[in-house]
Amino acid sequence: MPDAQTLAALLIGAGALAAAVRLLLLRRGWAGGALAALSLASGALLWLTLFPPLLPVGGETLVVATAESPPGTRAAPGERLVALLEAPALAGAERVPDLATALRRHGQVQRLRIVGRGLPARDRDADAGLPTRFDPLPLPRGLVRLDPPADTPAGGVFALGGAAQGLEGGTAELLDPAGRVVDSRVIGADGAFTLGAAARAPGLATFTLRLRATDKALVSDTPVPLRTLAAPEPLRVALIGAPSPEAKYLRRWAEDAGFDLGSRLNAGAGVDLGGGGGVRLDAASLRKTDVVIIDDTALAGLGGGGRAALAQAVAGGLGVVVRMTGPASAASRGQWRSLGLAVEGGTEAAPIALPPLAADADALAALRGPGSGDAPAGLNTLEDPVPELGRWAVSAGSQLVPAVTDAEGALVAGWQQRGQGRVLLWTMPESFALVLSGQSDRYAQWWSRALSAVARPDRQFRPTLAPLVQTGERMAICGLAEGARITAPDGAETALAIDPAAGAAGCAAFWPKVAGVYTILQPGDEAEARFDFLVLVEGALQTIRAAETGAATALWAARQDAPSARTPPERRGPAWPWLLGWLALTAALWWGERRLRNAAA
Amino acid sequence: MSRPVAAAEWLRPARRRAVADHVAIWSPLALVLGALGWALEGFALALGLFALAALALAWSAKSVAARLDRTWLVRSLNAREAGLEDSAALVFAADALTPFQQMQADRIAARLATLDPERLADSWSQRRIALAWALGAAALAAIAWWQTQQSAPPPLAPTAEATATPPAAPRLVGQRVRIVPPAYTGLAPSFSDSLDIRAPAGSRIEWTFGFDPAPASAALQLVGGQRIPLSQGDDGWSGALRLDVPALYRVTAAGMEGELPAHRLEPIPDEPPQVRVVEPASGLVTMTPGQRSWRIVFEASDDYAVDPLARLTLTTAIGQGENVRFAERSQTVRGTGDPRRRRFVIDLPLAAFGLEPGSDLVAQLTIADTRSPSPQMVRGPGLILRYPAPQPPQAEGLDLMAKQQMPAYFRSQRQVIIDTEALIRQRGSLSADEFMVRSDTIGVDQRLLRLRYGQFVGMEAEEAPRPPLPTADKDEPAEPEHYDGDGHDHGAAPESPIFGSLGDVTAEYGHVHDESEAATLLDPDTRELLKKALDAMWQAEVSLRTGKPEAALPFENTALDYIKQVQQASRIYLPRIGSQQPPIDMTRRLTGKRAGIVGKGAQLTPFAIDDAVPATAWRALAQPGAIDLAGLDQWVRANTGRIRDPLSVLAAIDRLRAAPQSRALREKLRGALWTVLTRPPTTVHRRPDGGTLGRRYTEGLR
Repeated sequence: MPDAQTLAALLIGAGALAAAVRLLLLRRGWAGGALAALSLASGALLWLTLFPPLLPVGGETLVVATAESPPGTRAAPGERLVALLEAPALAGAERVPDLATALRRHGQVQRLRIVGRGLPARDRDADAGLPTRFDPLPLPRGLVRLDPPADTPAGGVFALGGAAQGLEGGTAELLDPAGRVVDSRVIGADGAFTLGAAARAPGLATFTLRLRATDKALVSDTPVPLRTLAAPEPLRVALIGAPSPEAKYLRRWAEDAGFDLGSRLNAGAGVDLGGGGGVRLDAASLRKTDVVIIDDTALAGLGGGGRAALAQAVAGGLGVVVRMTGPASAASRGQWRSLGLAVEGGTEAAPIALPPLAADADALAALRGPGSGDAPAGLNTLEDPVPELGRWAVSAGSQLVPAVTDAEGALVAGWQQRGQGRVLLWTMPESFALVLSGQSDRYAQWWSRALSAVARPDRQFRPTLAPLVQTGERMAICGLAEGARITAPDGAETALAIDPAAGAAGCAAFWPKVAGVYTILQPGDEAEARFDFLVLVEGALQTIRAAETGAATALWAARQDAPSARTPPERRGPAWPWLLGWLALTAALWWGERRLRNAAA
Repeated sequence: MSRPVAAAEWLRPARRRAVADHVAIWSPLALVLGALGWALEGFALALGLFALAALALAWSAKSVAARLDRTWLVRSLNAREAGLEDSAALVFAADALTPFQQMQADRIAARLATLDPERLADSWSQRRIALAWALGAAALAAIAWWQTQQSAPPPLAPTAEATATPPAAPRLVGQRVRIVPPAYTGLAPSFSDSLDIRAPAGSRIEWTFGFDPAPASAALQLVGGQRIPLSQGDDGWSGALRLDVPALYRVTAAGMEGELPAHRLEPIPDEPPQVRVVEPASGLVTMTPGQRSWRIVFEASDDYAVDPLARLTLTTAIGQGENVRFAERSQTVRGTGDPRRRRFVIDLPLAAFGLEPGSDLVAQLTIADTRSPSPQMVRGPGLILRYPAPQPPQAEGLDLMAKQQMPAYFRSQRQVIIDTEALIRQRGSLSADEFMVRSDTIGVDQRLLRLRYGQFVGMEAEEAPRPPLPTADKDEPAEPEHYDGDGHDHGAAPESPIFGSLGDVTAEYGHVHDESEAATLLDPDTRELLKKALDAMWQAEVSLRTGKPEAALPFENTALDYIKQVQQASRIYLPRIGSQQPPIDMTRRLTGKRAGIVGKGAQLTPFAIDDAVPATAWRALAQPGAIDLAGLDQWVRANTGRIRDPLSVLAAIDRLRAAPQSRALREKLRGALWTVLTRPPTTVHRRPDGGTLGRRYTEGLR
């Protein structure tokens, strides 16, 4: 079906053509020709009256003043100045509540120019469809990026990253909740830094990131929340292998970390030194297990049936750690492949480069915390020699995800997904040497990373939200179900309304008003799940937000400029000149035709 | 004629004057010394110094007087009185005089009698006396001034405390804190500017406070502890305490109201001393030939002072192999230098130790600091001086083969018997040829064993024995890079090690011939037994190699018997120490049953984190609600040794106790508790399964 424009053109053209032919048949000669031409022209004018041609409109540039616009901002000739809410008072600027309102009010503008820090998030949601120019202001001095630590298991080491602008040669310090410096880095030329510390008991703790200039003057203190999750139920681990120091220290760690550990340590001739009820590898038992740690010889000794049961359990969500005790053979690689672990190599040994335990002795002491009777504080110092450790160098494709790497990035342990579960290959045959040389915290950290990567996933309530929130900003909380509530630090409780448009993600919006620790309460099948998050004081993230706004506005502006997005302004000219022309022409035609008929008569 | 005058009478006035003059000049010094002693230490030192100075003065005065002898008298008389005609010596002469001299002497004596001995005395050296007394007076004044400056306590400093108090209640208006460190530290008493005190452990802290208006009573209240009443003196209320444990305290007075600020009392513990080895550079030193003495230098450092006396423990291990004798002796050494950093230089004469090649001398220094009571002892690193064992003689030619220290693998006599018995049992299932071959193999083993034992009785090998079994775990050497005669010879490569060369004493230290008496190392009885064993082995070998294991078996058993006797003859019995093995259950021994051999399995005790109290409090503080502050307080006090800064935690607890619902104070305590929490062993963080969507996604993965 042709559109209205084409249809009208066809109909009018056909009518005008018929009239012209009729006039030509009526009277040959110049007069008939002229009238025929006039009727054609009248048809054309009629079409133009209905569909006036597109005219070049406006030609104006809209200057949008945003936060931190320079005071002297003026509209140049051919420009119109509007000021968003965040902008300072500017002479001659029209206040608009947002960009969309400005565009609606000034429909004739053809270009946008944004001055100041950039458009806030609410104005970047929709495209303006106009070519936009935006020259970002130089980044503010201070903290311009902060990647807070991810949720950390109790006792684990966490890291946070950030970047500072204009503080080269200064220091970035991480302060623990008691205000002691636990890590410190000199800020380099690119401004980026990484800091780390260790988590303690489960809960939400507030660290502080302190930036100092070259002359040690305080630049900023930014709170950094650290969430340490408590395990609702102990991890169920099955340890299968030969009695060995590795098994001994794994058992030690598993006991200390509070796992529900079953072990099968086969000493030969059917003697199991594991104690307890032993470990069974049938489908029903494996469903009740979260991780199986098995050494390569024990895996080979399972037989095809046992490995098939294991592989099936992996597809159902079980995590399996295959611990290499010797070089891999073609047969063993085949067995691993049947579990879903496709690796090559593994016959050559390579040394492991251990990163230093901490930057200096003080940082190490802060990392380890106060000792206890079981773990004395002065366990291992920085000066002690690091143990010489080796790994079997395996090569794998991109499917193998590294879980533990050494200081040079070489793979120590890597996992691969199979169905709902994961299989991890631990290539370090003598990791217990870490414990023997006093680095048991590193041993626990590496094994924790490995098991965290593969352990059977849980269904703990864990909503997703932005890691850094400050008051006065809208935030989205996802992963909620009906009945979720939120408790503010002042005790006020708010029910969260889930946005039906978000679908399965289960998202709700929330505007925190006061700073402090908020708790999301989600009623569940058995008990109410809780989730704490920290809301910072407004302005705590000022420089970060400024840098983010600038970068996002530059991206947004680039998207407006992209040719694919540029839509021509569809503005038709006024129809009345064409109507007058058509009327005059039609009147002349009527008069001419009448004279023609009279002359003919 | 006796001379009327004695020299002593003439000298006495002069001597009296000289002594008086000397004492007058130097006595101010003695006074000043005494005053200095008084100022520094007290009456005892003052008296001691003064007595010492007085003694020295007396001695020097005596020597001054002694200088005025007869020679001086004669000389000065002659010089002063021309009328004596330079003959005064004759008057005071001791020996008999010639008549002419006697006449002159009488003449002079008569003239002398007219003279006054007092005129001989020197006049007072007034200027020197005046100067000495002026200087002495100035010094005494300076000491007195210094002393008054020293002892007068500074006036009470105005307090910085700004507490809102009702007008009638007493307010703290002045404070003075005097810290008297323990005497052994050698630190002078000092005054603290603030009421937060950090002082060496064991210090005595003396407070003086001024209140306005004057209260009825005042006290220092230790937070969670004792109460020290203050007594009113001339310049205020004062009290004292010995600082041993960290604590918080408040200054209270009768009538004071409101929340009083808490101050810190923090002892600085005395660090144990440290020992560092300066010389030698490494812990193990090899003795050089002809070395007579060994010089070792330690440096000991401490925060206050190192005891100059230290104990050096010297352990000698003399002898080689199993025959090592240990002896330990210790001696006291004296350190020099700054008390905080003493050097102990020790030159050990080596002759006294009777070192032999292969023996060790271990030196270790134990130092102590001056803490009282109970000095802290620290044992330094051990230094070893090793007398190198002599290099084994260089081997040449064929002996080189015997140098290889490789474990030799050969079957024991017992193994030969077991093999033979097994062969006899399997006889039915083996073909005749196979049986013969196996019997022969056992025979070869028996022969090797015979040769092995034969070496001890000087038996020359009939032929070069070739090892029929692998003699070492070592892999075959890689293909050499060189070919013979390429001009790059490492000498002849040693042959594959000879069977039984391990511990082959005779081959290593001598050359054996078939003259057995000359080569044997065993006593005649043992040798006799060994020979019998060899004979039995020979018989067994013959039977085995001819395929008659049954016939060989009795001989083999006989040989084993003899070998056991030989071994017992030369065996050294050592007491077993160390692990206590459980008794053997004879009922199940050799039954092959394995049921129940693993007891209850390896039971592990989980890591106990003894910080349940602070961890509970840390979690509880995140939410509003009551906190067990008393329990937390008690826990912190019980664990002060482990915590770096217990006072800050106690202070936070104390502040929160006053205002239990304050959010800021709760946050503060929660932060302070972070330093107390033990880091648990890293646990595992399970990943979320991603909900229905995530599960569907992972199921769709191939």
